[in-house]
Amino acid sequence: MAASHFLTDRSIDHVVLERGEVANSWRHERWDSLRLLTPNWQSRVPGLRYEGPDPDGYMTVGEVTEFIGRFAAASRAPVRTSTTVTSVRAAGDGYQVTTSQGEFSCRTVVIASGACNRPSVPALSAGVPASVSQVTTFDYRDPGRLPDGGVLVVGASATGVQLAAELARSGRPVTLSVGEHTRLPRTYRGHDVLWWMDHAGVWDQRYDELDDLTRARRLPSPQLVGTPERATLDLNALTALGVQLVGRWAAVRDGRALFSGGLRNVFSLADLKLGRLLDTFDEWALTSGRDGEFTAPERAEPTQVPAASPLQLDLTSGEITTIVWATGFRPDYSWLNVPVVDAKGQLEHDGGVVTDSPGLYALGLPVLRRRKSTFIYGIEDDARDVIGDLAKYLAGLASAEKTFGGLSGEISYGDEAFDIDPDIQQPRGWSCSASPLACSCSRRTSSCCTWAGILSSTRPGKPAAGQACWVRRRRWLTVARVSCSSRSAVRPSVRACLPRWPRVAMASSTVRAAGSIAAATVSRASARLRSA
Amino acid sequence: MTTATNGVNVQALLDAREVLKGAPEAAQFTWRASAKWQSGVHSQIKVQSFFGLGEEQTHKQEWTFEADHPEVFAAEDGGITPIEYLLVGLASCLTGGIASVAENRGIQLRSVESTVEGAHDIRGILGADSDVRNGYNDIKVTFDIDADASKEEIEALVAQSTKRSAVYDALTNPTNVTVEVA
Repeated sequence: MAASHFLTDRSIDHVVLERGEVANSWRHERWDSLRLLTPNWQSRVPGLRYEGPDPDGYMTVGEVTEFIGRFAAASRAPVRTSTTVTSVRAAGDGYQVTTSQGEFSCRTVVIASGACNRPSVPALSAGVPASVSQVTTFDYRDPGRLPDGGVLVVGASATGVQLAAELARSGRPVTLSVGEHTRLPRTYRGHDVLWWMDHAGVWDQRYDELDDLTRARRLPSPQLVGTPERATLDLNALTALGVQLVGRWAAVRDGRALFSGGLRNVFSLADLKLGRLLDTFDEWALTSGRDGEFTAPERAEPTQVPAASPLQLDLTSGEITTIVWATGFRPDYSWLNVPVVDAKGQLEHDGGVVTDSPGLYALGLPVLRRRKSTFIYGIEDDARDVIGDLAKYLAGLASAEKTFGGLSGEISYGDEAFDIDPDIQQPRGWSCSASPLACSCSRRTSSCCTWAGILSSTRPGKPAAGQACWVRRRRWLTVARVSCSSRSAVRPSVRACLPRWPRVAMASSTVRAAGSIAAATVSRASARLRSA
Repeated sequence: MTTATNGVNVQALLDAREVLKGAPEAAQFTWRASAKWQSGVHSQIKVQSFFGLGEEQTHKQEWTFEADHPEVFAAEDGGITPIEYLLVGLASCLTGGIASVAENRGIQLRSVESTVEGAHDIRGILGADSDVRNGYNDIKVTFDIDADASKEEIEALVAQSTKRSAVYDALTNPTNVTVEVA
């Protein structure tokens, strides 16, 4: 619907297809006690914001459903409900969309089905004895609906810690299997932790500024719960509730669940990471001159290591009657008949632009363009940007059609950014010049295009006065503009101009790489494997 | 360019990581050791060849290890105890990891020392009490690190190295082990 808002702004004809009713997953695929992790003041979408009496509160599922319903009504989005998409495939200049209510032909498609279509349950669940009942977060509603007895909750992200707490409070013995996790206090120095992240600029960090985007996109949700008391729900809080913590569930053997003995290290990783985050908040408080407004900096107690944490549980003993899988979600692209999904089932995209299939876009995926991409209030900036790209693509198609032959123009390609160190991976064919503050590069690719780019001496947003380019460890090349002067370069869209040189550069640098693992050997080996 | 010089070619490792992302077959390694009984509980283990990057590989030389038991076990003490080799593996794996992570983070190391202690109730292997396990009950590694970094940064180095350690994983998680007669 955010995409619809910006499409309407640009007078681009469109429809919004919804398999059920508006806010379907909020209505049917969430548990009863769930509240948003984000405070009400962060509940804003294009043209609509929370204006109720409790900006620091957290919406219940019912309130979220109502909020999204109001957004649909206010934006007059052309929603077709009860319309399940069964297939999207490339057809001519655009796409053919098959639904339960008929066919659509369109130039562009925005995939807004999100990353949480199916519960993600590890394969070892198949080895769980049949006497133990298994539920996912799609089926779980409240403690009363589970069989009597002990519960093993698997996963210690937001869902897992919330359900473990709820089940423990209902009087059940609860064991929580804990892997890597993100620990957060609900409030810090008198403000909601999300207020700090918002002000310190964490949520606005762009996908192309992050050291490890793949990792950022896979980051589990933080251990947070939205309650009127604004209580912290970390592992220490769960221990106080009587929840037994065990390590990551590694295997089932002879009816026994075997857990990792690495609990201490996942505690250390989470505690250290939390410390670094709080450091950035304190740093922001000082640099913004607002330090005096807040209570003194504080640090959380380290996560308590259980005196004795079992390494195995006998699943046939009757001690555990239910396993709740809080092991995350995965997207479902079974309907997408375009080869743009990777081996791990994730859509291959660059900031929501599916570069391998022009005209295909995505919204609402983790760190799509910013850390806040999957937040309700994060969709506005992403949708504006992605729909901006979509509009340019449509305009490019139109102008290419109109001026077939002799076309000259510019294609603005947004903020294409690559994590490239030019000292080591000098991109072939580029001419670069360096000054103490920045490098700029340009490249002429055959007769087609000239790329112009700025090679920042450091990451955007962190100016490093006096720092020379060549002493930084990481460099960001931002291709600001691609100019094309022949029609072959324009069709199909910008792809022809973008030979994806980061990969080319990587290949040439790996050939040069010396050392313990010779990557050239790897290439030869993989080539041989492919031909075998 | 990193400013630290710990002697780890991190760039080669980072490049290999990128390449292997697209070539998972090449990432499949098989490590080997061959052991030969000497006498008593003394055996000799040789390690040279392994498979990886799609083909047979070898160490620059063959390495030989002696394993025996100490005199308190009524043995000849011709080498360290097999279960002590686990400590050797764990300490070296974590230490190598620390150097690599430090290099990648631009942290200059001056010294990295550690002691590894494994608590072992030998009633298990002697069959004296069937409720006692054969292996370690608890392993503790204590690092003493001198580096150009804060205490938190050093703790983060150790935690990250632990997170990526092959031996730590092999010790903390169950592994399918097949033992058979050829």
